[in-house]
Formats: sequence, structure tokens, C-alpha cells
Amino acid sequence: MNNRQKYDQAFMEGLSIEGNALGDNLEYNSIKTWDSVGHMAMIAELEDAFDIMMETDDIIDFSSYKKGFEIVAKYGVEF
Amino acid sequence: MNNPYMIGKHVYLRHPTEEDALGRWHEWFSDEETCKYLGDRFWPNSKEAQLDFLKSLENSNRLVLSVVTIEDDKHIGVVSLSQINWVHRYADPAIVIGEKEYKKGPYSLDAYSLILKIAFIRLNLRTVRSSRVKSNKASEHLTSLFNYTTVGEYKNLVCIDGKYDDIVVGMLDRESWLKRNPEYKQVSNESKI
Repeated sequence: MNNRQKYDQAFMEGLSIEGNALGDNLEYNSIKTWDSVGHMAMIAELEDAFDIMMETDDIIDFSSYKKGFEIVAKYGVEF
Repeated sequence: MNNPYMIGKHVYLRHPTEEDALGRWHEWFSDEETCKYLGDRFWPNSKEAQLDFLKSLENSNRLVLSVVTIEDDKHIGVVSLSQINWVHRYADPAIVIGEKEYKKGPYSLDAYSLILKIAFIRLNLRTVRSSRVKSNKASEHLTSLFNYTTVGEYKNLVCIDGKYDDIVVGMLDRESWLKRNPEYKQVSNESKI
């Protein structure tokens, strides 16, 4: 599984969504499951997938599927 | 912003006022959904009781702050540090987002990160403690995300919606908190001197 696939899988697991829901329009609160609980679950999935620990500011800034690539890349993950 | 004590990305924290108590604050602590996982909120609340609570905060070992949105200066909840022990330097943080339209957004995470920053940096505490109902998924994720260590459980201690549930007890020390907040590491080292 490459990093893009890991990233997508973490979103699908954390937010309980199908792959067709992923994309640049996917943002915090844009779907029912990306609420505060879903957000924390998805961050945990991403941290497990890439073996990273995000800083608090990045967790709060993680506002969309698109923005997430930029944040995760800060921890050495290449897409 | 009005009299901010700590500023986050979506919310800021400030001293609670009589206006807060007379607003919707008292209603949050009557609301069934909001009080579901709070250990000591069985009775209906009132404006008078809220004002009494506000007055009781003077000279107590408890810090209570209003959570206010930066965007529109709306009072949406409260955070607190209770049982502050200035000798052993620990406290018990808590958060309640009372305004329902703000429960699903990033406000609780932002506000909780601020109260931990106050605990470890502004008040120079060493440890914070948590006590959560096991079936409360929001608290489970929150304590996990902030690196709390589970230290024990009280089995079948509380009754939630007619079913007995466990209380999970956790601790978070400053070093564990710093892993997600490395910009404060120098501050922490200096405070040890």
C-alpha cells in the first residue's frame, strides 16, 4: 500500500466513509461523520498509518482532505 | 475579543461574567444531553444557582473560564481546572460545550488544548487527571489524542441511561503533553531550574 492509499484508508476508517466520498470537497463538517469525534478518530488512524505524532496546532488546523496532505507531509510523509 | 486570557485558533478563554451566567450558561447544565456524562449534574439548574456558582469561584482552588468564539464573540461553553493542588502541582481539567451547533466543530479540541496549555505553561502544573465514563467516545478520543495514560477503572460505578458503566481514570504529565506541543520544551526546561 503506498502513502496515498494509506492516507485514503485512514480517512475511510476514521470517518466511516467509502472511497467515493474522498476528494478536494471533503472538509470538516461537510459530512455527518466528520464531526469532532470523527475528526479525532481520523487523526488517530493517520498517526497509526504513518507512525507519526502530530502537534496540537496541526490537529486543529487539519480542516480538509486537501489540507491534510500538506500537514502530513510536514512529518516526512511523501506523496 | 473581550478580556482574553488565552487565545486559540477558533476560540478564546476569558473570565466568566454575570452576563454569561444570566445568558444561556445555566441552561446548559439543565440540558439532558449536555449533562449525560457529567458526574454531578442531576438537578435542574437556574440563573440564581449559576450566579451563586460564579460568586463561589472567588478564592477557590478552581479556575473556570468561558469559551468564546473568536469569529463572533459568542459564549459557547466553559472549561475548568478543578482540585488545583499548588503543593503537588496537579489539577483536573474539564470542558463543556453547551451551545449545540458548536459541539460538532473544532471548538472543543481548541478549547481543551488551551486549558491544558494554561495548566502546564501558565500555571506551571506537573500533572492533570481525567475521569471519564467508558462509553463516552468523545472523551475517549480526546484523552487518547492528548496522550493521557489510563491508570485504572471503577467498575459499574455510574448509571448512564439506565445502564451501569465504568469510570476510566487517566493521567497526563507535562512531558507527555510536550510531545504534541514541542514549541514549549524550552519553557519547560527553564521552569525546572
